[in-house]
Amino acid sequence: MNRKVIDKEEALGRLEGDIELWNEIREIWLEDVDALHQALLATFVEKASDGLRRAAHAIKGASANVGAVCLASVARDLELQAPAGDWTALAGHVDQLGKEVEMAKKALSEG
Amino acid sequence: MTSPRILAVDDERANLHLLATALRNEGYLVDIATSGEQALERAAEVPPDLVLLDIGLPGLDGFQVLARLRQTEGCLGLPVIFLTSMEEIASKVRGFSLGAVDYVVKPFHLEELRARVRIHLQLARSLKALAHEQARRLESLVVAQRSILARPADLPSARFSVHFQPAQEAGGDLYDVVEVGPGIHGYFVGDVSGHDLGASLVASAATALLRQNSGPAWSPEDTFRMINGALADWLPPGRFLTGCLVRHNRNTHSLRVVSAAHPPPAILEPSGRVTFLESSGDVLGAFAQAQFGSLERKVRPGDRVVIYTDGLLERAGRTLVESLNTLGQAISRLTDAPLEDLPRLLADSMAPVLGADDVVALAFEA
Repeated sequence: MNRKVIDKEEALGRLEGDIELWNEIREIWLEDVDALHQALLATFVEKASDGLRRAAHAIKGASANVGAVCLASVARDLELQAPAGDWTALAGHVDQLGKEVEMAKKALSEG
Repeated sequence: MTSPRILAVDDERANLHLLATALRNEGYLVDIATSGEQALERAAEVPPDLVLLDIGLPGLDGFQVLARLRQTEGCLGLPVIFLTSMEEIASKVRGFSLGAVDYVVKPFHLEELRARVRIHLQLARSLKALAHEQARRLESLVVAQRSILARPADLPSARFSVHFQPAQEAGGDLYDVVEVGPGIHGYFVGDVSGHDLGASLVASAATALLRQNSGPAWSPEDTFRMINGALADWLPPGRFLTGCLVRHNRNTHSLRVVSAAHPPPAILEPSGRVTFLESSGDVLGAFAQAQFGSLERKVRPGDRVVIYTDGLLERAGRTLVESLNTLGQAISRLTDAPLEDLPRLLADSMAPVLGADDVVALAFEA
């Protein structure tokens, strides 16, 4: 796991080392992340800046919980940029977020 | 002891699972809600002891949920901790200004969250216990002050009897009998607006003021002016009392009646004739410059005077004249009743007409 897509140690530290609990929220994240990502893409297509901000906020929260630090960081940037409505710039963030989603999924699927 | 109940509100499944698991493992009862509307429903169904509330919720957001909880009976003092990934200062300030007790930014450490939950539950319990203790002390004070109300056996020269029936523990009716001088007594009956602990405390305060401002140097009007001056300074808007003070001078066989918007006292003659002593006047405690009506008349030994609160007057749908007529007939029927029984018999005879209410009926014999 190069570039530390998932900071499992940090996440486990917050959970007091409870690996069972971390596995449970990891599985929930894996079940939910595609729907969250699709919802975000839909708001981007519709150019709904507030919806995009909310969708990015949701991905940020869910990803930080499980230790997906890179994805959480990109989602945070997108959440902050969305209200400006610069759709050219936002396209780059959305694209980057998609890549981070895939990397986080791959890393978390491996446990 | 029942475990504290915590309501966790978040639209993110993993977070709810995390919260529910961590808190249940500590022995808490945990309810969950995934939207603001659902949170309000849950809180109404089973009131929680603490709420962990996300801000970015679908529908009603966390701020709106908190604002509504603060208007919900039973949830006014409910500790609410915001649990959110919104890190902006403005968001925190808004949360606290709405009455949140704490603000935790996600992702959070379980140990820290549990510590915060524990301390806020303890604090809420302490505040509840403090409020309960203060209410208990106030009630004790009221009971103690009521217990020093004048009793006929303590002041036989006043030749009075009384029926005092508060409809609730903390009623606003009051009475007192004071010795103004040898052969001179003041008989007071009053009625404070409201039927709560505040009314009861005002009643106690009015009684204390009556005693402080009664004596040969004060006319009954002076006494009322002094009571009014003190109460008008102190009472909040909307709180006042009506009252009637009858000073009886057995040396001169005279009565002086002063009224503050109170139902008129009645004179019952041995023949059964009843006369109401009507005088107008402002209420006590509402305005600094209140005016009080007064009148004077002679009485003969054996005449009885009845002073009462409006609990004895049936008013709904009837004129005051009709209500007084009904009461006058009831008093007249008690012409031969022993003085010590007259107030109670009068209240009993009016009860089928009036139902349960605060009632004071005080009678004395000239």
